[in-house]
Amino acid sequence: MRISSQTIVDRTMARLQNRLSAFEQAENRLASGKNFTTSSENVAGMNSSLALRSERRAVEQANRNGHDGTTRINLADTRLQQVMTSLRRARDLTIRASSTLQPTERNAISEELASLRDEIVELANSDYLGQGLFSGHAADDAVTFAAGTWNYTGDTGAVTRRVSETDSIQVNLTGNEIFGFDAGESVFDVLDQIITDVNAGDPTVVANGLDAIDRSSERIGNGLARLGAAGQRIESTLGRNQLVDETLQGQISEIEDVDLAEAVMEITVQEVALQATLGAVGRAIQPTLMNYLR
Amino acid sequence: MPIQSLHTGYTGLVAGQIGIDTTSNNIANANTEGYTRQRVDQRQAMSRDIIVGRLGTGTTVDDITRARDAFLDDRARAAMAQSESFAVNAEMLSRAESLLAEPDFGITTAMDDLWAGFEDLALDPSDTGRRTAVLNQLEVLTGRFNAVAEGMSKLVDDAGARIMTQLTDANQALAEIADLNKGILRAGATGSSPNDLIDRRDLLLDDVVAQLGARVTQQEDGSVRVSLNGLSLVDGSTAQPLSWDVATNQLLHQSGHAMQAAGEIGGLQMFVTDDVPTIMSQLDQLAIDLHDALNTRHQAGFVDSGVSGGALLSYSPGTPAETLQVVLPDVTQFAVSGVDGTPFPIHDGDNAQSLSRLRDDLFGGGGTASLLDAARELVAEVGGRTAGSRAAADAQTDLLASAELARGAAHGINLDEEMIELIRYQRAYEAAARVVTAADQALDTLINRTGIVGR
Repeated sequence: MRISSQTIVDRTMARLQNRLSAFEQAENRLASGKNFTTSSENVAGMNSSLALRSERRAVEQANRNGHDGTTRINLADTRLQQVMTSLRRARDLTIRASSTLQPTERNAISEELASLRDEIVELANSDYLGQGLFSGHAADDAVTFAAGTWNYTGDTGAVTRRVSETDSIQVNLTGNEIFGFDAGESVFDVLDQIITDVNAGDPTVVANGLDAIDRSSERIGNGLARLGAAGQRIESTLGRNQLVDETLQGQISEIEDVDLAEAVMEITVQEVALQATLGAVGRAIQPTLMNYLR
Repeated sequence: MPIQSLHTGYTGLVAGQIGIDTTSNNIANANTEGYTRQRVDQRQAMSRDIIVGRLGTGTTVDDITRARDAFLDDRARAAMAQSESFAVNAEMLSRAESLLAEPDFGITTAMDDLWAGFEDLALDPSDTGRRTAVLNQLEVLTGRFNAVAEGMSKLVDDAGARIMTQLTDANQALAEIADLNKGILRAGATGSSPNDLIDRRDLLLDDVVAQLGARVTQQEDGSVRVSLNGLSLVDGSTAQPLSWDVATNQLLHQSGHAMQAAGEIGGLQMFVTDDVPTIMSQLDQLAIDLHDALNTRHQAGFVDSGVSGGALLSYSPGTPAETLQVVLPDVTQFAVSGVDGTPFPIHDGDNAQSLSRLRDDLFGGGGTASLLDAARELVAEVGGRTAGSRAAADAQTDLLASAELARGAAHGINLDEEMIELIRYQRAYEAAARVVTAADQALDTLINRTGIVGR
């Protein structure tokens, strides 16, 4: 084949350009640390990467939900433990009141019982981020005193937290259940009854209230057990989420991130190739017939 | 017969002179774009009958011809048209791709943010801060749709402007080719080949084919016909220009026919009439699906005052993606609750949760895929088209290189070769001069040394 001078120049330039662009690509990969930055560089890779990123985002959100649920459960747990403490004190007082006492002592006991009752009312109406802890979905207080009786003013709404793609866990207890409204003997009515009996001064009648206090404690104890179980479910799901998240992160990294050793080797190879091409160009352009004609 | 040798030597001198001049011209134009190597077409002169036989009478130069192969030209031009077409198409598409800004700042990310935002809101449905965050995320998402749609229509304008600039060049080249056709016909009438005009025309043809992918046909009279889609752009000495209709995005022939070009203009045309409409219809469908999904879910819920939720988004028909916008008046109008009961407000957050579930529910692609899948499909569509055009352009670059090599081999100048030619003609010239000297000496003998016997 006839080779013209222009052809030599053109082909040399084209080869140099090819080498330079391969070198530039290798350098770019190494500098950015990414295998691709646009979809066109790796359509399938980008497609998977977008799906995995979205999945990871959902897992992260599930974790946030789970942590929120845990906080809520812990708060409810603390409040109910405090209620239990108050009830134990009320029980002790009731036992003391079921023996014959001086009127002043009775008065002191009934006053302390009333303040314990108020304490429990306050605990029952405690809230988390503006929402009643034990009032379901209702924005109002869980327990109110109206027309001479204690009423549950919340609703039975279940507050759930999505902790994984498929699991939603209830993280609340409603006051109608744990405070005994459903059973027809709310803890507040029970305490009120004991206060009335203590004031009346008949030790035998007062002793009847002990069973009612025990039943109330049992109901709250059951509630605490359910909260504990829900908390454990969340913890274990969060643990699993952690694994899923790590796997997803690994997959994303495998698709998107450059294998550093490979990239360094690649750029070295390209550098050597570029130098070789430059050397070849220098040799190809030098000789002409003019050097040999006299 | 020494007198004949004198003449024969003279013809050799002339031929050698022309050879040296032609070679010099080749060397001088070694780097001239579009220059074709020229060769002296030498033929022996008419012989003369003398008694003992026929005697040669020297040499004549018939013509100075171009070493050009029209077939190789066609091949190189076809490769050039393809290569330009795909390269410019890939360039436009990669600009479209960067508008999508995936994976970090694209529609998919904004959608994921929104679903997460709704779920955050479900954790504390009455919180104004979380509601404001969701409203912002909605605005970011619609803003991304708007930005992509506006960017695409700007790209179309840009492509149209480029087509028009290219067409101005191409039309000028077509007119000049028609003029050159006329000049070449006129020069051809005298029997010699107007090499400079033909070179100029070949160069212009290269440009026109690279821009338009037009077909070039050599006519018997030496002129060329340039045609596109069967309609002539240059025929003899008349040129018919093309124009670009901005309103309809059509390439029009002078006769009013809509044309499909190849080459650089073809690549831009393909982007405007094929790529953008497909991408935009997917984007618009995604905007409509998102709008329908969000509004349906939101309207199924209840705001704080107990009434059903209103619309979250709206768009104008015809340009959904470009006009998608948030229409929720303020954050108190978020329908976060899922129950219709009293007393309100009921902050169960169920509807916010249900809105966040749009992440997986099948609302995309007209109800066949999730919105994320539809968005991913859009990204893959743009990426796939870009990658396809880029790969095609790369493939054509190799073809073009080999075609250019073959063409360069036919008409390019090799300086070493020209040096040898120069030596060849120089030696021929020297030898012819020696012939003249020999004839002169013979005549000298005849004139000055004869008839002097006994002097």
